[in-house]
Amino acid sequence: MNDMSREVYRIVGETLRVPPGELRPDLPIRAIPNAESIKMLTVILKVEKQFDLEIPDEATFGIETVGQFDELVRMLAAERAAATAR
Amino acid sequence: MKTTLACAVSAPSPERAIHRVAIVGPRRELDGVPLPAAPWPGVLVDRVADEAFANYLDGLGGGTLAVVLVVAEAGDRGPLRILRSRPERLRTRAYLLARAPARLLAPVEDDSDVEGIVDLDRLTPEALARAVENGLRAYGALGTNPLIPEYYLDATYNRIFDWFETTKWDWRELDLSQIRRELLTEPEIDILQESAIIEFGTLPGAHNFLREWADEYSFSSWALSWGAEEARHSLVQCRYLHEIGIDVRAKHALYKREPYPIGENRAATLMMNIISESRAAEYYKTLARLTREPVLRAVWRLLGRDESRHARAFFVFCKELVASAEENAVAAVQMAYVWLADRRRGVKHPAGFFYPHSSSTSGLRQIEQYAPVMTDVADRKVLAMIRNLLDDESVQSVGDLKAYLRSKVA
Repeated sequence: MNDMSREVYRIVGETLRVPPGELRPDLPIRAIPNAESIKMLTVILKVEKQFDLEIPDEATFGIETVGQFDELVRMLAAERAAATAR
Repeated sequence: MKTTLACAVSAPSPERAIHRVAIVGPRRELDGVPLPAAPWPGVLVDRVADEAFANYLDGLGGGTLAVVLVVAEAGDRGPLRILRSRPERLRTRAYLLARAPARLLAPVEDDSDVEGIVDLDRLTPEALARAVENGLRAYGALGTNPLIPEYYLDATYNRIFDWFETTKWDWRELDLSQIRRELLTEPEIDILQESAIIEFGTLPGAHNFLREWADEYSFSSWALSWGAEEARHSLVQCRYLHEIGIDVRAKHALYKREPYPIGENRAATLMMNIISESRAAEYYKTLARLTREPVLRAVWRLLGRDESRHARAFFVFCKELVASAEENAVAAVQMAYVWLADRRRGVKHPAGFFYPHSSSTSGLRQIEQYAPVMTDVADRKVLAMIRNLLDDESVQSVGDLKAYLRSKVA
């Protein structure tokens, strides 16, 4: 797990109040007791701010697992880095 | 219980002390005020000389002063005036310990917000205990809601009451005996049934409003009016269905009887209702335009008008909260974003959202599909209300809502 993923997991864990050891990539977000829509929006906003990204609306509500969310954030960060390099 | 003399503020040494009670009066009278043998848990009692009362209040800072008992032998109300000149002490409950109390009653109650007068000549520890205990209870009942005005009629509900009351519809506007069954289509009848059932969800809504707003009376009073109006929405549609030979089962009302979880922020709860009422208003108005049956058109028009009125009233209460604290604005916009941006499984509405075991979820889909554009129309009106709430004309889309929220992330 790289630094970015660690930070994503930290934000998810802190916001949804899940102990770090319990957050697995295949953990369905809807299965987390505190993961109602407003809390998930808070996660999205914090991650966007932390990495200066914009996560699309459809992803905000469509992400199924913590791993998918981490993957999406890394992909968006890579796209932004590529765009900056051009 | 801890007792101190004269002007000293007793140190809040017992950690569980949460309320102070002050007995204020001429120095020579203070020792004579009898206290009950059994202390009140969590209450500190201070005895404060008249001339030291202002300093005593200064020394409390933001600390709690629940009850003040003023020894006013001959009707001297100096300490009361000092108390009431401090806006932060309006919640403190005051009692007078006075001789010939009947003579004092009217003028004192008028200008000093006195809870009661205890006869100083017949003062016993029990009588004092009753006054203190009633004072503590009254203090607790007042709560800390900053939106409660000093005078009853100044509450928002009382200010919007006339507008709300005079725009109510009357059953005499409808004549169900004039229904022309041959003009109804089968999809319309299905939608009518679903609308009647969806409206049952407003009963737990009213229940939850009263639970969530338990510390005030303004919005709560309005919630009762709103609930009474919403109950008519199910009733009128069920009566219409009965006229055409369809009886709605009572089970549908019971499926939506359990209360759903209380929201975390009242402005957010109100925003959810602004959205659901705006969408309901547009659904009814659209359905009224599409039907050829004149009585059903009249019913749906009236219900559409009701839902618009409800959305506007929810907006008034939401605006009051948003103006009082930025965190309320953020919570309202968060809720708006979640409800407006996410239509993956169709639009959200509390009736379907909280009661998946009822037919409302599929019923809502059915209504949306009947005239899909109406949700867009409703949501544009919601965005206009949000612009007003935030006093920000740049908010034109759900993307703008998210940009606003991003700017508020700590």
